[in-house]
Amino acid sequence: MDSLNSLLDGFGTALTPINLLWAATGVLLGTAIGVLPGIGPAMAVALLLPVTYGLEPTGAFIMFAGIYYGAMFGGSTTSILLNTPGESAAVVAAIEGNPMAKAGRGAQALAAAAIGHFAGGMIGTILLVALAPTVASLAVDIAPDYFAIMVLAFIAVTSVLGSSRIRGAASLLIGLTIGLVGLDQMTGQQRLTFGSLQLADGIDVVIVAVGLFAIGEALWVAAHLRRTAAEPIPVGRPWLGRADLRRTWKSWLRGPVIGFPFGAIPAGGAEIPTFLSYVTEKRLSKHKEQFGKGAIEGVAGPESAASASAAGTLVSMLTLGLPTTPSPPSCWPPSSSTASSRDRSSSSANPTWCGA
Amino acid sequence: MTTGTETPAPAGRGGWLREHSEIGVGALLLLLGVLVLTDALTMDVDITQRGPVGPKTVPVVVGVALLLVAVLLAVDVLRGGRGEAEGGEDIDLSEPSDWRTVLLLAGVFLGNAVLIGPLGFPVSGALLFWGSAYALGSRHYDRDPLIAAGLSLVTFFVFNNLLGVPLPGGPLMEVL
Repeated sequence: MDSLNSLLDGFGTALTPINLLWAATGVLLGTAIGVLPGIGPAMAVALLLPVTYGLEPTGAFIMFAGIYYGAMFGGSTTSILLNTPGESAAVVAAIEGNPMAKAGRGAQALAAAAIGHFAGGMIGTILLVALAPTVASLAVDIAPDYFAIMVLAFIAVTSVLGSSRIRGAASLLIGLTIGLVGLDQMTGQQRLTFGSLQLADGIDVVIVAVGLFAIGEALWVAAHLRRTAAEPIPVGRPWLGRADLRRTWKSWLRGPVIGFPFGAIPAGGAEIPTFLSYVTEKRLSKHKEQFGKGAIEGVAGPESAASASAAGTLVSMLTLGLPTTPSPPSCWPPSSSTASSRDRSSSSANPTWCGA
Repeated sequence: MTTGTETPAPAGRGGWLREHSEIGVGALLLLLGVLVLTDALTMDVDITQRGPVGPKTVPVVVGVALLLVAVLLAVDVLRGGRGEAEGGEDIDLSEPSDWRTVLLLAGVFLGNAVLIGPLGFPVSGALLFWGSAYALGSRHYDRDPLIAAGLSLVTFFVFNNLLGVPLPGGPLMEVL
């Protein structure tokens, strides 16, 4: 059981006190930032990108995972308490979570979401470790056909960007144009530098990520700022009762089964599995009449699916270098590229498609 | 990130341009395409290129694709296609774009980029934080500048001293 060993090895690395500290810091920061209105996981990671500069790659990666999961949970918190999902994956949490909060069961909804994220993250990670070696050996076999992978990546990118293919292709091409700026890697020919020495270095992915997720998002929010304040709701009794547990434990376990495969396939994302999980929970529930009015399964299942799909996206991200969602996993290459800029020898071995 | 929130009913005011504002995106793509193609075709690759594929190839493909997508997008927009607007917690899509806030905020960002060199991060950062709060509608003249200054100083020390990411200190830090 080679992958089992590497799983235990991975837990061993992650469980060292210093790495646990980075993970805890990441989750704390991610939740704190994710709870802020208008900031989803993608923007939280973009904002906190520089925080990991001082860390070695493993620590940085651990912290990023913490920030991402934390921000996802932070996003569901606002979904549940304010009925204002910060990102599309948290929409489902608002459908059931907000009615629960209005009925004074906000704490139970939050707990169901938190434990759901934990279950989804754990099961997703275990599946990731089990599957990654297989996918990675496949990846090694097709290594000469980088071109095919790049085409797949481009198609994946255009289809995750929304319902319109033309608009997806347009943003892809703008990105490719930004990527063209600088020296041609094979010949050293200057492209689109207009004689500027600064542009000859190319445009760093971090700059693009911050511009897109932080500056762009800030200006977009500014243009459409909601001028009326949202209504906060009291949290209520902070315990998850035995009846609630009996209703939710199956949902927590079912979520990852739906979420993980969707995260792993290109263009999967977290939106579809959360909705699928919601529909599944509704069909299987003994309390169908409660759905839409605050059914706890409707929070637990989708939240667990969301976390597991995040782990699923890491399968293709870590083994093929393909970001399959537009949000953070595509921002993780910057962390590895900052790591590789310190260690030039590895940068050629690990091409990151974000900067292709 | 792109969410499936329903597009708000297009308001009657503003007229044709408002409805078809994405033509501007098409124009930008067209401009980019021309730029990329000009750059690629004026490139002097006699010394560097060996064989059919050289530094020109990808730019030419990208440039042609840009022109193509620009035309396709224009056609799509003229036939009534509309991009999905991204929803969010603090976003009210039923209101028209608030250009005053956008320009103020963009001005604050640009101001920070200009001032961070001469004034250093602690000062320019404080201006950035306060300016953003002001642009987004906060009018607490007593409280906001203090919070901004504190936030800016804490950020500076965390990054510069704790994390080892050098930030320009400016004249203020030379005094201290």
